[in-house]
Amino acid sequence: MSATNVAPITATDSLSQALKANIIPNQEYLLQGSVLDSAVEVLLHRLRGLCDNVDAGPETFDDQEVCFSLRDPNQQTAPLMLRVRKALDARDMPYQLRYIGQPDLGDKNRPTVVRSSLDIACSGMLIEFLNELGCRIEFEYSIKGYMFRKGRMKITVAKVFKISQSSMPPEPISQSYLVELSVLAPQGQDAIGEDMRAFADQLRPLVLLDKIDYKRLGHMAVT
Amino acid sequence: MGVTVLQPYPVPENKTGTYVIELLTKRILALGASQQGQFLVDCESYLSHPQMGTTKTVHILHNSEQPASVFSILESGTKNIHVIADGLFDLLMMKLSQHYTSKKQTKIESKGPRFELGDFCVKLGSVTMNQNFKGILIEVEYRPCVMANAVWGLLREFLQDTNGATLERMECGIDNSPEVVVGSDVPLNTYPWVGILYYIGHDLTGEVRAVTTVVLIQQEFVIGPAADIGPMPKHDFRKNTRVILGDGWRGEELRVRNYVIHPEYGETLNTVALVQLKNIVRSS
Repeated sequence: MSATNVAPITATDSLSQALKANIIPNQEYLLQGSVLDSAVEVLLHRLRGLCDNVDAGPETFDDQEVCFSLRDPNQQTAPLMLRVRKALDARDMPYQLRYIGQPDLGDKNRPTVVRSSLDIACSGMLIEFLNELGCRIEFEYSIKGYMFRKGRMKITVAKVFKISQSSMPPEPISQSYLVELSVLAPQGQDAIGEDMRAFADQLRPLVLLDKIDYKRLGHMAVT
Repeated sequence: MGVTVLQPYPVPENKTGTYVIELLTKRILALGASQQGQFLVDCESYLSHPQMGTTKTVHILHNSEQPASVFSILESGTKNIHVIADGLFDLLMMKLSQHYTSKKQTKIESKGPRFELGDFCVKLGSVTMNQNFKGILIEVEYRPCVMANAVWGLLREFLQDTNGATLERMECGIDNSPEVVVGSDVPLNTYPWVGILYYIGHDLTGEVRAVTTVVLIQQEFVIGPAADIGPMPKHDFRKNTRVILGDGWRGEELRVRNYVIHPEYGETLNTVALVQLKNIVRSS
């Protein structure tokens, strides 16, 4: 039997090999901040100077995201959150299904938030699939803005909108843009955090990118 | 991507699966095919946690022809929902281990040699469930075309020539006597796909009977007038309704699995009801 006729490796085996070799980018290193609408042009200008993909002008995106939760049947752990993104400006692209774990802020010495993350491209009836799976829709929003790249780093500057029920134009939830600096990497590549911190410093004082603790935000009084 | 036919191949008694695969391999090689590697399709099923309500099953399939994809089918009583995802979907299933647990003993694999013969790709799969041999599946793909209707005859001929297998297909539905005059009689067995649907039930006033005509449109579906089927009692429709088809009028009473009235009935000219039969109708 020739070499081309050997039995194919099973999917389970190839997955466990990939896991063992630690080549699956399942960690997200993240810094977040925001900038007022009035100052966003200056920030975009600065990013155009710093980033790689600027020859053809800034890359734009317009996504809609639906966040689902799946309750633990034993009620012991927090619900599992799954997010589905659909590009509104490129409708033939697949859905992006995303699992995001609990963020780990670490101590003062850790430069970024680290959270486990799985990014899965999907096609088919994903929303119905998740509904039938037992997931519940928690919230949804649309997000529109610009995407920059610098090496492995991804920088998005985008505005978050409420989903409008009628044909009204979508309503922004605030007068500022959300700025995110993130890298997806396999486990243990903590050095990238330092690079991100260094890059974030170059954007000061236009925007302060930091480790955001959602738990603390939740306790802040809403007036 | 082309048109694919998947067909079980009988394993004769006192013969092994390996023997049949070797026989088929010899036959197809003699026709001039060349072996192009091996293939593997596997399916693992996950059951929902009992506390999550009605049991749902998620089938996760991999195919060596599409090594970077994961095919998933969610079965929940009435619905089958499919999603095609990239390989990381397997990792997500691990995250869902609290909610969905793998039924290891029903892991099914179909694997074996893969042949190419001109525009055709043939795969001879030995199917095993949890390592136990279950049967043989032949997959034949005609790659240049994606319209099933256009290549059906070609595939059937190919299967007959190479494997001696025959594709089952209902060969009725061709009206050879268009000269039938409205209102005149025709012999009962002229149109084997025409039949009746009747309901016999009881309510407070006594026995309730209703009958209407139906037409078989596919191996397990008949259509009938919504105006007749709609008013029939809903609560015991499935229990008390039978369909008899004109195929020989042997009086075989077919049970009903489900039915649906056209959603636009009453609003537009759509006045049909679709009735699903419990079992597939075999032509004779």
